[in-house]
Amino acid sequence: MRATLARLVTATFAVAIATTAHAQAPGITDTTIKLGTQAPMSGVVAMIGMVAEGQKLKFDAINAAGGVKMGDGKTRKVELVIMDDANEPPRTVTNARRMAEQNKVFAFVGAVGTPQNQAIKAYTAQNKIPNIFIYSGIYEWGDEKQNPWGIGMVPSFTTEAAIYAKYLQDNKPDAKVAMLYINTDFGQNFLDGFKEAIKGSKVTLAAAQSNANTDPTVDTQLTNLKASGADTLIIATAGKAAAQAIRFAAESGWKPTVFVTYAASSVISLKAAGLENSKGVLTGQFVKPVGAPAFANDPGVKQYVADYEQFKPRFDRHDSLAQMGYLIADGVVKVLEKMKAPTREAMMESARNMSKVELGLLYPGITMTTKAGADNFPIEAMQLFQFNGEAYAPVGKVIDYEGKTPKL
Amino acid sequence: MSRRDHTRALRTAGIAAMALVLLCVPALLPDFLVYQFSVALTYAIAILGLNLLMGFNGQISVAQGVFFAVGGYTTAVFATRYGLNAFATLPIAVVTSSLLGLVIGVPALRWQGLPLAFITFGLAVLTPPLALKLEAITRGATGISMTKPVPPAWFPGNQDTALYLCCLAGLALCVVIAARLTRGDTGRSLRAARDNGLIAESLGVNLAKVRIAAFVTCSGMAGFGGGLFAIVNGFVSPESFQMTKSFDFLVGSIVGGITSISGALIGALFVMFLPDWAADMNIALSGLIYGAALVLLMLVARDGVVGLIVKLTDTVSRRFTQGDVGKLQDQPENRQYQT
Repeated sequence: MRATLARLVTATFAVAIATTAHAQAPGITDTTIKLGTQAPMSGVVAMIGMVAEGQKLKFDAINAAGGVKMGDGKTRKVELVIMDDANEPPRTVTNARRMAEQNKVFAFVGAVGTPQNQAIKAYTAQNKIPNIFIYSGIYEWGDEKQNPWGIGMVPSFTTEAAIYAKYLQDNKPDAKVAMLYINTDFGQNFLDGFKEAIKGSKVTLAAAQSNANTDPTVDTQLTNLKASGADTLIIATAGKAAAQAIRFAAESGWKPTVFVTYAASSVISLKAAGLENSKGVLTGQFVKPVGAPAFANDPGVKQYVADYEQFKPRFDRHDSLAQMGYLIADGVVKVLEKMKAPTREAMMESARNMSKVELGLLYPGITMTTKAGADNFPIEAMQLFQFNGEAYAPVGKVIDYEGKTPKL
Repeated sequence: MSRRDHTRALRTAGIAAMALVLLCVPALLPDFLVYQFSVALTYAIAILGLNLLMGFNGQISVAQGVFFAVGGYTTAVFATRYGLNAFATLPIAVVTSSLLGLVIGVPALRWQGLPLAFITFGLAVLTPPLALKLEAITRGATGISMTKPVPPAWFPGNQDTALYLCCLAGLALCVVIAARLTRGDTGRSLRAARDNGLIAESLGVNLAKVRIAAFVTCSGMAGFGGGLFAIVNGFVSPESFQMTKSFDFLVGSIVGGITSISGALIGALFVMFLPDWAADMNIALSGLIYGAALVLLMLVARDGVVGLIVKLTDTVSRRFTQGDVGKLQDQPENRQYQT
C-alpha cells in the first residue's frame, strides 16, 4: 500500500514537472510547427474532406521548399495533423481535444464546417488555442468578443447574400425569390442576410425551405418553393442537395434564375446536376477559375498546377474544395510569416492584422485585410460568375465589401 | 476456509482493486484519457441501468440511448437556457428520462420479449431525426454547447480530474442503488419476474409493479448518465445520440455480463475504447477487428467478462478446497446472480 502511494506521489510530481518544463506553447520548436485540421472524410459529405487534402498539398510544397520563414526569424517546417469528423460535431470536439492534448498541435487551421466549429468554440476559447481560417462563413466568426480564439477566412454568408441581392436589384428588380437553405447557421445567416439586403427594394422573398445534410432528397422542399410562384431560386446549402435542387429547378419545368452558393458551385457538383440543367447558374467566387484558359498563364495558377504535378494528391485538379484548402493553407503561411513570436497570442495577432495580403489562388482584385477590434473578416469581396454549360464566365466586376461586411 | 468464503474474499478483493484503479486514473493518465474515462463512466451508468432491466428483470430494451439522449438534452437545455448549475440539472434529467421510461414501461407490460425489443429499437431509430426537428428545444444541427463547470479553488486537480471524480461519484451512487435493488426481497421479486412470471405472481409478486419499476429505474439511470455526459463533454447534438449509441449500450451490457453490476463498467470501457484501438490498428479494417473481437469474446465468455472471471475463480477456489466439506455446497446456487 505504501509503495503504491509513493509511486502515485512520484507520478503526480513527474507530471507536474513535465508541465512546467514546457511552459512555452506546445507544438512549436525552432524547426517545426505542428498544426491540426479536420474535415468530413467519411460519411454523407465526405467530398468536403478534400479541403484538408488541399491544405496538405500546399504545406507539402512549402516544406519541400525548405519551410516557412516565420516572423521571429526562424524557418520552420509545417507538420499537419488531419482528422476525420465525418461531419459530426461531437467527433469534432473529441478530435480537437485529441489533437491538442495527444498530438500537441500548436493551432487549428482550416477546420471545416459551421456546427463543427461552433462545437469546438468553447474548447478553443477556454484553452486559448487559435482556430484560424475556419472554413465556414457564418457571421459570428467576425465577432472577436464572441469568438476570441477563432477567425474565419471566406466571406461572411451575409456578404454573399448581399451580393446576390444587389445583382437582383440591378438586373431583375421585381424578382420573387425562393430560397433553399441548410438547417445550420450557414443557412440561417444566409436567409437573414438576404432579408436584410432586400429591404427597401422591390425584390421579395416568396418562400424559404430548409434541408438537412442527411435528407435523402430535397424534392419536397423544391416542390413547395416552386409552388410559391417565385421566379428566382437561391441555393444556400452544400453537398448533393445543391445539385439535386439545380436538377429539379430545370427538369420540373420551373426554370427560375438560379444562384448557388460558392460552397456548392464546383463544376464537379454541376456535373451531378447535369451540365445542361446548370446553364445560366450564377455564383459568387473569390478563387481563380483554375481550368479557365484566361488564367492558364497566371503565376498563382501555374504554381498550384506545378505543386499538383509534383505531389500528385488524391483529388481531381479541378476540385474546387481542394483548391479552397490550398488557398486556406496559403493564407496560414502568410500568417506564420508575420508572426513576431512563437506564441499562440502572436498567431492570433498576426491573423487579425493583415493588410491587403495576396494569395496565389485569390481572384485578381481580391485581397485579405483585417484589423484587430474593427474588422475580423479576411475576405470580403466576390466576383459573380455565370455557368455557360461548360465553364464559368465572369459577370461584371468584383463586388467589394471591404470593412463593410453586412451585419447580422 | 470454505469455497464460498474464498469466492467472497476474491470478489471483495477484485472490487477493491477496481475501485483503487478507478481512483488513480486522474493521477496516472494524461488529460485526454481522463476525459475519455469520464465519458466511459457515464456510459457505465447507463449500462448499469440496462443490466437491472435485462439481466435482473428479463426485459429487453434497445432504447437505452434514447433515455441517455433525453438526460443529455435536459441538462444542456436547463444549464444553458435557464442558467442552472450544471449539476443541479441532473435530478431534472433523471425525472424527465424516468417519466419517458414510465410512458414506455406501462404499455411495455403487454409487449414482453421480441415486440418490446422491436418497439424500443424503433424509438432508437427515430430519436436522432426527432432531435434534429425539435429545433426550438435542441437547437437542431447546431447542437448545444455548454461551458464546462470550473472546479472550486481549493480543489488540487484540474478540470478534467474534477469532472472525472464527479462521474465516479455518480457511478458509485448508482452502484449502491443497484446493489440494494438486487438484494433481499426486491432482488428476489425482480428475478422471479424474470424467471417465471406465473409462479412469481402466484407467490405474491406484483408483476406489473415490478416490471414498471425496473423500466423506470433503468431509464432514470440512463438519463443520469446522459446528463453527466453532457457536462463532461460540454456539447450535445443529434449526432451525439445516434442509434448506434443504443447498440453500444446493449453490447456493453452483454460484454460485461448482463447479470452483473461490475460488468457495467467493464462493458462501458469496452465500447468506449475498443473501436478506437481497432481504428488505430487499421482504420480500414476497424469494423472487422471490432466485430471479430465481439464474436470471439462471446465464444470465450458467454456470460460476459464478469461471468468468465467468476467461472475462473470458481475453478481456482474449488482446487483450493478439494476434499473440503464445502464440496457439498458446490451446487451453482447463486452463480447466475453474480455481482
